[in-house]
Amino acid sequence: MIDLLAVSAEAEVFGRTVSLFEEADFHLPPGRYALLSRTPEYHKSIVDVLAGLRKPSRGRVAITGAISWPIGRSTLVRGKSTGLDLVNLVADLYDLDRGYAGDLVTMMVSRPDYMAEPLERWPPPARQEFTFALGLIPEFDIYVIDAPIPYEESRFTRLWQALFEERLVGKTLILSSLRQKQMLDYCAKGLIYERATLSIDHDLEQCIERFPARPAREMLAVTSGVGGYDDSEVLF
Amino acid sequence: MAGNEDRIAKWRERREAERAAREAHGDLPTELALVASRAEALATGDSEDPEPIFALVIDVLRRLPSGSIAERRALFDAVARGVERGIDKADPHSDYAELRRRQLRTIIRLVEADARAGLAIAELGYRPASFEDALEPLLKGYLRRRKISEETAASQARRQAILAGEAYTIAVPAEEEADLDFLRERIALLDATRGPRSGRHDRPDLRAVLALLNYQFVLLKSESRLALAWTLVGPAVLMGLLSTAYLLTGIHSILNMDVPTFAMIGATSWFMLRNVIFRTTASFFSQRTMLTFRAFNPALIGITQGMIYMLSYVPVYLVLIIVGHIAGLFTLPDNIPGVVFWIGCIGLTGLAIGTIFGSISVVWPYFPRFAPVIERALQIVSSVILVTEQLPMDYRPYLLWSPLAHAMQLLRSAYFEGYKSEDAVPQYFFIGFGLLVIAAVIAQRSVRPRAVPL
Repeated sequence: MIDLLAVSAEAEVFGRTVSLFEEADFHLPPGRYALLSRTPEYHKSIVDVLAGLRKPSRGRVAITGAISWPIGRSTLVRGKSTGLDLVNLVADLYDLDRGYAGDLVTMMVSRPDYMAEPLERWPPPARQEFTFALGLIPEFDIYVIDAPIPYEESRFTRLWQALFEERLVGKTLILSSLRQKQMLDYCAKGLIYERATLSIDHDLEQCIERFPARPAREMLAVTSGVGGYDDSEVLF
Repeated sequence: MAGNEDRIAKWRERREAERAAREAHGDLPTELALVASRAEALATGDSEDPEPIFALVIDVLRRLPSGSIAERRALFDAVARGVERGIDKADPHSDYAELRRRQLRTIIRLVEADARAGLAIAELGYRPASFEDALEPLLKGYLRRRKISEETAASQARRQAILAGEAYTIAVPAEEEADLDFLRERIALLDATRGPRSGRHDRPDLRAVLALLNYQFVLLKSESRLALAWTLVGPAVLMGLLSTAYLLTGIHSILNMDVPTFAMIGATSWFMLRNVIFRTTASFFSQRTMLTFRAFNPALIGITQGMIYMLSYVPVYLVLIIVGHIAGLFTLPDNIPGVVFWIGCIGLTGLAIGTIFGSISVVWPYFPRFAPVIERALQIVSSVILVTEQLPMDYRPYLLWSPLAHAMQLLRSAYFEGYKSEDAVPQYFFIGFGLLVIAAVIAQRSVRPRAVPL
């Protein structure tokens, strides 16, 4: 359960400071939600606010229960630390057994030989698998996913999806993905960001038609000015 | 007798087949009705193999008395009619029915083309030259369509389960079942052995601090060996420069402090301070990925990074003092707890300054470029090169405004038995340090809305 209490927040999007929320009050009950809007480029910042990672400039975000980090972001997998170092960090952070956590991730990913290598040397597919595998280590009450869920036909995809479905039973999910099929596969409702606030729409199929994940080029041509969006038309 | 009975049984069987064929295809002559009846089985199974269709077509063609185009067409029509009836009876998936129709049409086209070209299609071993090339795409297309159909059906089932609030089970191939069971077991063990959950999730607790400290230590170990060696070499170089300057001017002792040890303790402490400041400042930006975890905030990341580098100077001090003493260069500390305390105070001051610098860098990313300039200026007024007692009274305030000058002189007071600083005031340092900490807390809190994960 997430509550936005008179939240105002700003974010820098494509080099411009934009207002994400203005005195927004919102209650998100448990459920499975696909984040949709006419401005997908704001989704990362919105997810940061909902996940408690971006402190609002005014107001408060109250999160009831354990919430995951935005699972799937590749930026987590970088630097000189190894995959096992990051697994150990997650295990330590959530008071979990390092050995079991290491076993889980190592057994699941396609390239376990990379686990002891510095993350900066990993190929992108291995990074993607790793970021999603990490998300299965702790049990959360609210899962936040900010990337396309693995979908390529592979052993990892099948195992991850099977385990994630089991993890997800009775839990809340907020999914920010460009893949509409995944929204339908994992979510029941639409979490709509419009006019600097959030709302819930129970007809997800209709929401997906209203808010395509990738706005058509014609729409971009109409709404964007030189170097960015025309806020008056796109934001509010 | 047995041969006669077999013949009678076969005759009865044939009569039965003819009767069934006439019932099913009564408008066709008996021979064609039999062909159509045989063809029904081609679409009632689940085989995707075109060979049975080809075999049937060739078999019935061989029985043709003359082999005219009209006769072949009648036979082909009969086979097609049989396949359609088979489809009607078995009601297979529409994609499969379409595959069998297309395979039949393609085989008929190939055989008819060869027959018109004068090839001996009735001979044993006959096979159209482009048989595989023509039929393989049909099978591939069918498999593709079937996969899409299965996925669509699975998606619909999944959607229904989600809307009904039910768990949906993802099937995995049999060879991956064992892996899945192993992973399930690991997840169950992880959940079972998890300690009690913290009540607060929105602020760092001791567990988060320890986890981050441990991670920072791992990062320190992954640094290049040259960079780690520099923690030892850097102070040695500054110490060498300071000592040389003093010794060249004929000064071997400064207020009862021997020059090499005086230079070593000043240079090493300053290098530790600057390293703590720079590392703390840099981690506000370089380790933004850690902000992905809600338990961490920029100040915590910076401070743990600075603390790890502060601790890395413990072996540096030990090596320099012990090896230097054995080599006859340095004297040993007089008051070890006092030395440790003031080195700790200088390091903590570095953490506070680093947090302020790091907070500024969140708003103004260019700021860290000025950090070395500020650090050099601070070095001059922080009693690294000389202590205030060496200066005339009028010049001492130029150094003594800096709390770090007080800390550095108090450190030397603790280290050397023969030197007790007259100018350094512990209270002054603590007030300055307290103000820095307050400024750091305010700075880091004020930039929190702008400090976001990478």
